Amino acid sequence: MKSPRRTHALRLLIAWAVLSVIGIVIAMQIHMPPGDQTRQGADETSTISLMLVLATPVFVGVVVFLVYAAFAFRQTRGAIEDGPVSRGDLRLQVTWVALTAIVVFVLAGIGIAELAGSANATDFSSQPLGASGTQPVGASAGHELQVQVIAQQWYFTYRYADYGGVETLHLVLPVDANIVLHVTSTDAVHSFWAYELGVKADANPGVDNVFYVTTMHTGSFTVRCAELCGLWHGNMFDTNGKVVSQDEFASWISGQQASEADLQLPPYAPMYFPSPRVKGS
Amino acid sequence: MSERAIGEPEWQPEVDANLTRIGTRIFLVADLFFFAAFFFTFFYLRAMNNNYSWLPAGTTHPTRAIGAVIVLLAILTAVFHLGAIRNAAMTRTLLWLALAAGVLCIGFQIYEFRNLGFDPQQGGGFPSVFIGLKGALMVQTAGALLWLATQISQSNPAGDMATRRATAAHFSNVLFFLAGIGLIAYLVLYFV
Amino acid sequence: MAASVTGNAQTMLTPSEQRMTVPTNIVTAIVLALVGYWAGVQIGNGFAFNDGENTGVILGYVLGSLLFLVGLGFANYPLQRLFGWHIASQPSGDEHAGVGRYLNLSLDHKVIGVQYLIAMLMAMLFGGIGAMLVRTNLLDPSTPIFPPDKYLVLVSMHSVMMIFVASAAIVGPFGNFFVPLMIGTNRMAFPRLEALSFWLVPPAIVILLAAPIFGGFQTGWTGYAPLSEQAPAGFDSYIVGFTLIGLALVTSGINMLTTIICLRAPGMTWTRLPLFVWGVFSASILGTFAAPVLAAALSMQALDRTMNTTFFISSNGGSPYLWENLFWFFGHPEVYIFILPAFGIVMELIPHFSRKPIWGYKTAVVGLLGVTLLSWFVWQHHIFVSGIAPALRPFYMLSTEMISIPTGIVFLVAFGTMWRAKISMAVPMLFCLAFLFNFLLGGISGVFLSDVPSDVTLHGSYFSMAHFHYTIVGGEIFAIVGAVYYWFPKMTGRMFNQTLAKIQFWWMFITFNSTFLPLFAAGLLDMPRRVSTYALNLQGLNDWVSISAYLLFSSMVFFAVIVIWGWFFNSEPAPADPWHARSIEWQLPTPLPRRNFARIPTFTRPPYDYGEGVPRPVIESGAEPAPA
Repeated sequence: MKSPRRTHALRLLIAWAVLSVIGIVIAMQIHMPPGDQTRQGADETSTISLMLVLATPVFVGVVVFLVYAAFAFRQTRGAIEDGPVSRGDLRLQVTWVALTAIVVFVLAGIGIAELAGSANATDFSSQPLGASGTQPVGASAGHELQVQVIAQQWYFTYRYADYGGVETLHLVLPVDANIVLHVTSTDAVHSFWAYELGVKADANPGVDNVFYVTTMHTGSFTVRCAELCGLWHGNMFDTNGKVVSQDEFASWISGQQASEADLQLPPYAPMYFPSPRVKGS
Repeated sequence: MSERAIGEPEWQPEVDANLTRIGTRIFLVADLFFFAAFFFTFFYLRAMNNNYSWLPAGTTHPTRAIGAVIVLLAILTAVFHLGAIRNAAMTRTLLWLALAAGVLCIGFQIYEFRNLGFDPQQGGGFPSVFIGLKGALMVQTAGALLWLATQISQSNPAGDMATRRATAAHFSNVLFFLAGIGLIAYLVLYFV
Repeated sequence: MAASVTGNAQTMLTPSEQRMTVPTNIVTAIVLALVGYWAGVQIGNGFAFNDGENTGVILGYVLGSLLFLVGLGFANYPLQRLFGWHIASQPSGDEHAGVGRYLNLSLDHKVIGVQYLIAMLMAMLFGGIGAMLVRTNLLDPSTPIFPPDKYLVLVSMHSVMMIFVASAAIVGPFGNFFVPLMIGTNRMAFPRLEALSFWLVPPAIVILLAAPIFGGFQTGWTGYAPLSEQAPAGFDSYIVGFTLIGLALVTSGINMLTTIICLRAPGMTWTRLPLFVWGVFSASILGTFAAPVLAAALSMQALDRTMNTTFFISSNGGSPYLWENLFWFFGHPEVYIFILPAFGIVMELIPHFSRKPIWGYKTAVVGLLGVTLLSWFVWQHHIFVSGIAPALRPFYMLSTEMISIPTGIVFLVAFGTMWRAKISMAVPMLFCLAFLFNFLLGGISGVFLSDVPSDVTLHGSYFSMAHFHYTIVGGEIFAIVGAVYYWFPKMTGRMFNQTLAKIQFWWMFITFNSTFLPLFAAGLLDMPRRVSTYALNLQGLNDWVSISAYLLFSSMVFFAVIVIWGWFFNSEPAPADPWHARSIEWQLPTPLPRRNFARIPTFTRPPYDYGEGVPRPVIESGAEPAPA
C-alpha cells in the first residue's frame, strides 16, 4: 500500500542513481584538455574532469525529472483538470538550497585550494628581470627561466631575458623547469594561449602580466591568440612551440645567441608602450 | 513629469506626485551610477599613472577659485528652487533667480573650459577625466535648466504650477543632486 | 493642464495653440532624421580635431536620432509646456488608425508592446542573417569566402545586434503589454518615457546597420580598447547605437519600476505579484542601474575618438583595463537582464500548463532577487586571465559560483510545480521544458568557466561561446518564442496553427542542440572565438555546426511564417482564454479595449489559484473596444 507520491519518488530515485553511475563512469573515460605537459596544465585537466564528474548527476537528475514528469504527470487528453494544491514545502526548499550551497562551496574551495597550491608549490622567489641565468635553468627556486612574451598584431615574439634578451618567433622551453612568462603587448589587447601548456594570459600594452608554469614532459605545443585583436586574429597562431630536454635547450639557446650576436636588438625592457596615440584608421 | 493617459478618470494630483517622487529617486540612483563610473575612472587612472602620464608635463590643476564659483552657483540654483517651492508668494521671482544662477554656472563652466591652463588635446589621465566629468555635468545641468525654464513658464497664472506644486517640488532633488556631484567633483578634481 | 484634464479638445484654438498643431508622424520623423544627420556631419566636420570623420559621424548620429524623436512628436508636449501654450492635443495613439497606429508615436502600452515585438523580431532576423554568413565562412578553414576584415565586421554586427535584441526582447514586448494588465492598472507611470524607450530602438538598429558604410568595426561586442581606438568610423555606430539601447534600458526601467511600485491595484500586494512581473521588476533594476555605467564608458570612448582624450590609451595615462572594468561592470548585470525575465516567463507559464499553484512562490522571488543582487559582484570573472590582481580571483570565483544557488531555486520551483501535476503539452509548455534543459547545460558549462583553473583553458574559446549561446539562445530565445506562442492570441486576437507550432518546436530544439553542443568540443579542442580560420582537423565539426545552424535559422523562418500566417491570414478570431488559464490577462476580452479596466479590479487571492475550486475572477473591461 504505497502512496503514489512514494512510487513516483522511488522510481525517480532509482533511475537517477543508475543513470548517474553510468554517466559518471562514462565521464571519467573522457580525456579532458589541456593534458599534463606542465603541472598547471595537469591541474586544469583534473579540475575540468572533476567538474564533469560532479556535473553528471546534476544533469542526469534534471533530465530524468523532465522526462518522467512529461510522461507520468500528463493531463488526460482533452481534459482540463486541476492538479493537487501544494504551495511549497519549507523543509524541502531549505534542503535544496543547502545542498546546492554545499556543492558550490566545495567547488569554490577546491578551486581556491588549487590556486593557492599552485602559487605556494611553485615558490618562485622574485628575481630581477635580466639577471644572468645559471645551468640548468629553473632547477631550483630563484633560478627560474624568465621568458618575455611580446604580442603584437599579429604574432608573438619571445625574449629570453636571462640570455641577453635573444628573440625568437617560436617558443622553446626546457623540461623540468620553473618558468615565468611575462606577457605584454605593443598594440591591442591579445591573449597568449599555449594550449598544451595550460597557459592563458592576456597581453595588454604597458602591462607585465606574469604567469608561472612548470614543465613536466617534453613535446610540442600550439600557441594561439585568444582575444580579438584585429584583422588577422585568426591567423595569429604557431604550432611550433616545443618543450625540450635541458641539454637540447642549452645548445639551442647558445645557437640563438650566436646567430643574433650581430643583431642590433632594442634594449630589453619589462614592458613596452605603443607609440603614443595609435588611433584612427 | 506630468503624464495623463487618455480618458483616465483615476488621474489625481496625489498619484501624479507620488509617481514623480519615486521616478525621480530611481532616476537619481541611475544617474549616480553614471557619475560613479567617472569617479572610478579618476581614482583608477590616478592609481595606475600609466607611463607617468596622470599629470603630463605642463598640466596644472585649474584655478580653484573659478571651480568654487561654479559649485556655489550650482548650489544656489538648487536652494533658490527649493525656496520657490516653499514660498508660494515669491515662487516666480525665486525661480527666475534659480535660472539666472544656473545660466551663470554654465557660463563660468564654459569660461573655465576655454582657460584650462593645459591642453586636453595632448592627452593624459587628469585632463581626460576633467573634460569627461565636468563636460557630462555641464550637459546634464543644461538639461535641468530647460526643465527649470518650463516650471517658470508654468508658474504664471495660466500655468499648472498651482495645482501641481507637489509634483514640481521633486525637481529640487535633481538640482541638489547635480550640485552635490559638482561639489564632490570639485573636491576630487582640484584638491586630490 | 488643470483645464485640459476636464476640458475637451474641441475648444477654440488661439493662434499660439494653432502653431503647435503641425502634424508629426513617421514621415516627418524620417525627414528630420536625415536633416539632422546631414547637419551633424557638417557641424562635426567643422571642428573635427584630428580624427577624420569621427566627430562628424557621431554628431550626425546623435542629431539624427534627436530630430527623429522630434519628428515623431516627442517634443510637442515639452515645448508646449516650456512656452506656456495651452495643451491642445496629446499624442495618444488614437489619432492614427489601423496599421498607422503601430508606425507612429503611441502612448498605449499595448501598442508599444506590439511595436517592440515587431522591431525585435526584425532585429533578430538581421542578427540571424549575420550568423548565417559567419557560419558560411567557417565551412572551410583554408578558403574563406570573406576577407578577414569583412568576417570580423560580420561577427561584430551579429553580436551587437543580438545583444540589442536580447536586452529588450522580453521587457519590451511582453513587459509593456502585460505588466499593466497583470498588476491591474489602466496606465503606465510615465507613458512618454515608455514610448521613448521603444522609439530609441529603431534608430539604434539603423545606426548599427550603417556601420559597414564607414568600414564597420572589428572589435566584437566587447569593443576592447585600444583595438576600438584603431577602428574606423564604423565603431562610432557601436558607440551611439549602444548608448541608445542603454538609454532605452534606463527609460524603460524607470517606467517599469515606478509602475510596479506605485500603480498596483488594491489587493495586489508584493506577495501576490505574478512571477513574470517579478522577473521584469528584477531585470529593470539591473537595466536601470547598470546601463548608466555603459553610457559613461561609451562617452569616454567617444571623447577618446573625437576630443583626443586618452581614457583607454596606456601610453598617455589611460588604461585598457579601465574599459574592461567599466564594460563588464555593465556587461555582467546585462546578461541577467536577458535571463531574469526569461525565468519570469518560465515560472509564469509552468503553473498555467501544470494546472497547479506555483510551488514555493516566495522562494522563487528570493531566487530572482538573489540573482539580481549577486550579479553586481561577479564582473571580474570575465577578466580572470587579463592580469588582474591574483588575490581578487578567489572572491570573484566564489561569487560567480554562488549564482548557482538562486538559479537552482528556479529549477526547484519548476520541479515542485510540475510534481504530480496535470501537465498539458501545449506549445508554450514545450518551450518551457526545453528552456529548463538548455539552460541547465548553459548553467553547468558556466560553472566550468567560473573556476579559475579550468577557465584558464576555456576562456576565450568556443567553449565559452557555446556556453553563452546555450544561455541566451537556448534560454532566453526559447522563452521568448514560447511567450510569443502563449500570448499571441491575446496580443493579436488571432490563433496560430498549433500542429505546425509543435513541428516548429521540435525542429528548433533539435537543430539548436545540434548546432551548439559540438561547439563545446570545438572549444575544448583549442578553437578560439572570432577566428576566420581554424585548425584543419576541426573542419568536420565546423561543417556539422554550420549545416545545423542553417537548419536552426530555417526553424526561425518557419516560426515567422507561423506567426505571420496566424496574424494576417487567419480570419478566425481567438477565444478570450484559449489556454483556460486563470491569470487576469486572460479574463479580459480579446481584442483588448483601449482602456483595460472599466473599474480597477481588487485582488483578494494569490496568483495561480488552480485546484482550489474558486470561481474565476470577473473583470470589467473598458466599454468601447479599440479600433481594429
